[in-house]
Amino acid sequence: MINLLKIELKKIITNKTFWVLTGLYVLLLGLVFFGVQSVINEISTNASKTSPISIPKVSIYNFPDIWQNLIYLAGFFKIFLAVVVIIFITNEFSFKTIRQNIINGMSRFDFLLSKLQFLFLLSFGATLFIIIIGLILGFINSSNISLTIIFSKFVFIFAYFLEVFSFLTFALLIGFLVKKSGLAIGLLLLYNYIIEPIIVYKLPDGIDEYMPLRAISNLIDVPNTALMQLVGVNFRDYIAFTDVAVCIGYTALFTFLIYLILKKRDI
Amino acid sequence: MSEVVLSLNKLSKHFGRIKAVDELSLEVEKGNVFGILGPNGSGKTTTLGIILGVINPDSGYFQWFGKTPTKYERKKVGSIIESPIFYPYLSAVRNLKIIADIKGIPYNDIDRVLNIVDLIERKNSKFKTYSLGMKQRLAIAAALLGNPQALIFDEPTNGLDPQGIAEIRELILTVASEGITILLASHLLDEVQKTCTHVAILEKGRKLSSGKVEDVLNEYGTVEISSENLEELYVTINNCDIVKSVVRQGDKLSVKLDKKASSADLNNFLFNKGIVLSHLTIRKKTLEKYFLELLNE
Repeated sequence: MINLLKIELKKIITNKTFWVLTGLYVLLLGLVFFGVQSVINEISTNASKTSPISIPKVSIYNFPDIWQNLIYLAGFFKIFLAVVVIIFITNEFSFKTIRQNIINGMSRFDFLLSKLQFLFLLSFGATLFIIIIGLILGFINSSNISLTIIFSKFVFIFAYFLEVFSFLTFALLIGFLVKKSGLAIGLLLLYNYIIEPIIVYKLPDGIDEYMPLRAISNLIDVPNTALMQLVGVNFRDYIAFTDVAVCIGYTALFTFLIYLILKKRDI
Repeated sequence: MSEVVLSLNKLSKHFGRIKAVDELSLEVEKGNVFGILGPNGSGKTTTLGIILGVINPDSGYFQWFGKTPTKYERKKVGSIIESPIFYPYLSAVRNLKIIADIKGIPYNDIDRVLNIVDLIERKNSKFKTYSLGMKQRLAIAAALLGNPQALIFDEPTNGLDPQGIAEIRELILTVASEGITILLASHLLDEVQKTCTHVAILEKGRKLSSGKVEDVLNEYGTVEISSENLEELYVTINNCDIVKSVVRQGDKLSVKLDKKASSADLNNFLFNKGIVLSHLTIRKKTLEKYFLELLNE
């Protein structure tokens, strides 16, 4: 196991594309995290001018709500990491190095394991990034700081890890299926932004939530800000067990499908 | 009975309607330099793909070292396939480290193999900056990593200049002399003749013939001879029981020998009859022609 991780690390550690893309992800998400408050302030100030009732000031950086707030935002950027995954898996096909890895003595299952470890590492990194930013912003902006409060909604962190990992296994599956980076990235974007939303729109309520990508993003609902409550909408501020189960189910299914592809196909 | 390194039993593989490998059975013994000879599309690379675990056979089975193959058997085999495959953005050393990790070999073997192929000076350069010759040498280094028990070469001299070809052939002979079993796929009769001890001839995935190189190729070989008195030679040789047929070609005789006989046997026979040959060559061109004829049947 450790050996496979060692191999995987050697493949990425000096790769420029990997560092540029993950660097961009960190930079972009960092900017969003630090900048989103002023955008919200701007909007609410403008709205107050025209609104008959006064709109309350919303702070999204307060412990413990900050976790759900940041994680919800981060959910929109996980596609970046999916692109990294697709580039790395399709590279193995276009360089034919997957073939060479197996000729050299990896089993096909080993190869799958090594890629899952890569996804695990990437998801872990993304989660760690949220924790660090969350702690920094939380400490700066919260008036009420105690360990209980900070960690009271920490379950969102675990949910976020699952969200990213599930999404990345989906990307990995697409990479294994089409093998060409451009095509795979195109397909991922198309499915994520167009095909699945259309299916979800057509399907009756209740069933549509079980479409894979929808189910994965459903893990973490829209944060319940005072603003939202004012409009009268109430979102879930907890993680539902069924969502977690569905998400894990999909991850297992994607992994199994990749295993089947690897086993049946000539490499 | 010598130890069997690799055995193939009625292996078959088709791609669509094309039968790439058709009930192929082979046995490679320890220390053999085994050539798989056949034109392009005769199933050589597919066969190698199967025994290296990247192509699933439709039917039949194969064994490495007498065992049903797993990744552990593949770790003991080095291979050089048509084009060298490495991570282009990694240095030679990093590429070899990945292979060493996969095979479970200590890193200190890396410098040894890089020295053999004379790439030690460029070991930290990225693979994509290498010339074709260097890439091929790195592939050899990778194959030699960890002292494999068997080596597989697929068209090893493809695209190389004469010097490179000579180097590769010398390397094959050196490695073979150390007792490492070698499997070599080639479409060049000459290459198989120069390097192999055993050969199997493939056509459309089927085995046409196999055995020791001299046996198999003699079957189709001719010897060209001449002497001072061609008439006398012609008469004498027609009474020799190792000769299958004689054709007169100008001032020479083209002689087809029996399967089991060699040109030395012929020379011996004539010498005992008191005839000294002024000329004796094994017609490689003719062999090549026979090879092509064989494939055209």
